[in-house]
Amino acid sequence: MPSLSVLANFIYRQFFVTPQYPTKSCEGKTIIVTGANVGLGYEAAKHFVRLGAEKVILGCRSLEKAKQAAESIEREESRSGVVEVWELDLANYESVKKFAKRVDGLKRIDAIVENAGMCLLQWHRHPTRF
Amino acid sequence: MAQTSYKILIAETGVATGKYTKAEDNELTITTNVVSTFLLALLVLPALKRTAQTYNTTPNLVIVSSEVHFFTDFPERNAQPSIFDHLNEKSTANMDDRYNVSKLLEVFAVRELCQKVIPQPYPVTVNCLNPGFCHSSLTREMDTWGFWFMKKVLARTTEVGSRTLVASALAGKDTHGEYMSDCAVAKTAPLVGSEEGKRAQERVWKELSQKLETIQPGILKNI
Repeated sequence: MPSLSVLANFIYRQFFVTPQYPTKSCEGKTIIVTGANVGLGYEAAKHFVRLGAEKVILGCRSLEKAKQAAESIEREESRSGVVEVWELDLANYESVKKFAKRVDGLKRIDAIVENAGMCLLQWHRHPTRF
Repeated sequence: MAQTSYKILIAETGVATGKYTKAEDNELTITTNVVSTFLLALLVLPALKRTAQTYNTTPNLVIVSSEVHFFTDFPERNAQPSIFDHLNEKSTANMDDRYNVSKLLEVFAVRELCQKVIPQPYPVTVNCLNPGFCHSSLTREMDTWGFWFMKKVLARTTEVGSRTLVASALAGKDTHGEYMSDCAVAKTAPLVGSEEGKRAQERVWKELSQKLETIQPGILKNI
């Protein structure tokens, strides 16, 4: 169980500290976000697209869901041809190796945000995988 | 490899009981959050370094961890002969704590990698972060007043939480090896910086790197 001071600090930050809205340009950049079909990964990918990234790659287990996410992001940010979806299953080492090989083939890679994994989606719920 | 599905268990107090499932050679959470995460990290380092050289930039490798790493004492840190073997032992696995432990292992691995393994200076910035407690972490099914309060008042929207991911992805070299929270370099849990923590960190990286070398021989040369 977290100590009282850790809890107090957490509550303070949640209440009073708001991370700044990102404004730094991503023009010309290629950025990968894993676990990006929903949640934090999705919203982060959307920011990168909004900030002008040349290419944003969503690494997800479900290509179907990732494609929907990609379409939604491009629609909301009024851009096209920016978001790609690549399959990635972190429960399978071969999938990880295949994904990395694809990354090797990119002209450039400016950032990779490893967001995918077993996520405690609900504090009082069984962990769920993105 | 089975697609896992979990029953929703609503507990009044404490953290959810995760079901023990195996994936590859570890418990599922360890495979996805730790082993595969760093397998991917080391496998893409050459591409990141090439970008650095070709375009004269400093690319970022970001691991999304969590402040829940504060919530665990990581009792498995003293297991002999192997921490990972102990974590993978179904009969003794504490699945209530497993997510917290996996997030702590991510912090340990980033720190050890950057503090002791990666040569300085390095053309890639490797960091990790805490996104904070976001709406996506909360269930609609929680009816208690406590959770209503947390959701309405405390929880960030997912978009706000995602700003921390963006910040770490675009952050400068001064964040190399660091844990970030609310878009800035922050202190890790007391355990991490303690003597015990440093010993655990060393052991964790030693075992993890050996595992990675087994999965992909020669991978450590990517660093």
